[in-house]
Amino acid sequence: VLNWNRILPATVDAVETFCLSLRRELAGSWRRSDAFAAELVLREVMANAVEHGGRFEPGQTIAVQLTADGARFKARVSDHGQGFEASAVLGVATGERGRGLRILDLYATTHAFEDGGRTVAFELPLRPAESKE
Amino acid sequence: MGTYAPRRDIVVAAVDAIKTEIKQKIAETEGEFVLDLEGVEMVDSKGIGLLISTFATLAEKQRGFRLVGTAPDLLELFRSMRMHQHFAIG
Repeated sequence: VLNWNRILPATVDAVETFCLSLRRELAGSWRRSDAFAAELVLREVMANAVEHGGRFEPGQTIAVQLTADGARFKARVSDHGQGFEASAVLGVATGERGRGLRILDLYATTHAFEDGGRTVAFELPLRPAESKE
Repeated sequence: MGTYAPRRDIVVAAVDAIKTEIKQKIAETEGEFVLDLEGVEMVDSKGIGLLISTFATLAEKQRGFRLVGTAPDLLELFRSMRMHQHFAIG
């Protein structure tokens, strides 16, 4: 069971520290591949919030909510930027943003862009811990 | 042959420093370039971008590029991103 609700500075270093904390939290209790997928997708969504929402400006923050109930991992990342029109980006994004969206598509069972693109929510399935690799 | 092992995650927080180190190693060596991913647990989209740009740089110089020591989860990610169509991944 995971239930995190954090407000972070919208910086690359804060994202890195947060993701390493999550890795330590999940190590040994989740299947390795589930923990990898959760961290990877979260990194992409948080990096997007820092780059496009925070625009690397000092004082900006992002909000991160994580929950897991043993069968499903749910994440919600919000920023205070100008948002974006998801339909205008999906399928046409290139470079790192295109790869980030591809990773979201690969691993997340569901994802949604809310509040004009300022919030990204996604879910990943979790397999039973007893079948850990 | 040139070999480089970053020994840390290739993610947005580290990608600029690793890019500089790879560039230096490429300049110091000849022939095939091998990136040893032993000890690397995570590669994000920025890191994937670095691997692809490294491949492109080496291809311009008619030099091969290969990944070794890749962790199982990263292997699956790289294959899903179709990176194995460009260079060998093991």
